[in-house]
Formats: sequence, structure tokens, C-alpha cells
Amino acid sequence: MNKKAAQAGELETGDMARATTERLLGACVAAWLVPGLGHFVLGKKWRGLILFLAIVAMFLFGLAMQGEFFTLGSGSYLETLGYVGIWGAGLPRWFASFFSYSGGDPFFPSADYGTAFLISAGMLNVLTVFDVFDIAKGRKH
Amino acid sequence: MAVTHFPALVIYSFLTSVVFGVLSKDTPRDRLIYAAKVFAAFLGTAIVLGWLMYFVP
Repeated sequence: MNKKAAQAGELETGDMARATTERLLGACVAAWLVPGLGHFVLGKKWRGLILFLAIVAMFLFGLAMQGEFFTLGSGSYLETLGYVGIWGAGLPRWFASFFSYSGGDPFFPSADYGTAFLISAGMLNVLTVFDVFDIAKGRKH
Repeated sequence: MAVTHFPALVIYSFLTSVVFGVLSKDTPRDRLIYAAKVFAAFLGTAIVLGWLMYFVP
């Protein structure tokens, strides 16, 4: 009897751990794909909305300033980092390509600023993913 | 959209400060104060460094 109860308890603990892991992964992936969505999923709606507006605005300013999208094949470590950094923004990067933004014009006067805006939007979104991870883990409210 | 240095700095600082404020502090008041401090630090540092570089030949 005690053995059965112990096994049932272990199963319940296992299910809870799996559910917690799924929630954690789901929130982190949501946070990466759409800035602020991870916070929204975890019930921090205002925080999620503000983060969404700020990060998406930064990304859109980067596009408006003709920021550059880097490629992986350049052989430059910095450009590879830039490529990864911009992909940190998640779906906005994909949407930009989908709507035919191919990487801006490097001779445009604000292109360098635009690139900084795009990479920063990605990096800020990565920070929000870490924040979501901490909230889902219960380390932060 | 072509912007000059200062508007780009203000926009960048503002948006980054908002995100830092939201992520770093726990209460709305603390967030607002922290974001304002980060914004002021961004602008102040850039202006001071800009003037210092003005004197560099």
C-alpha cells in the first residue's frame, strides 16, 4: 500500500516537473518569437506590452534607418555575431524578410545607426527571454 | 528615415532605458526611476564624451 502511494506520488511529481519544464520552454520560446509574449503568457501583461512596444519600435526604427542584415557566409566573426544578434528579435526579423526587406542600403546616411538599432532590438529581446526564464523558475516575480 | 546623431541617440536611449527599467526593478515606481536614471546616464555620457572628443585633434 505504501509502495503504491509512493509510486503515485513519484508519478505526480514527475508530471508536475514535466509540466513546469514545458511551461518554462513554452514561455521562453514565446518570448523569443514575439517580444513581450513570454511575460504575457506568464501573466505579466503590462510588462509584456511595454516590452513589445519598446523592442518592436526599436526594430522598426532600425528598418526605417536602412539597417543592415548580416549573412552567415561573410567569414567575419563580427558579422556572424551581428547575424545572430538580429535573429534574437525573433519573428520581426522573419517578417522583415518576408516583406522583402533584404538588408538595407549601406550607403544610406543612417544605415549604421539602423544596424545598431536592429542588433540592439535582438539583444534586448534575448534579455527578456532570460527574464522570462527567471520568472518561470520562480526566482523573480 | 535619415536621422542625425542626437535624435538617434535620444530614441535609442529612451527605448533601451524602458526595457532596462522594466526588466531590472520590481515596482512601477522603481522602474520609472531606474529608467530615468539610465536615460540620463546614456545622454550625459554621450554628451560629455562628445565634448571631450571635440578637443581631440
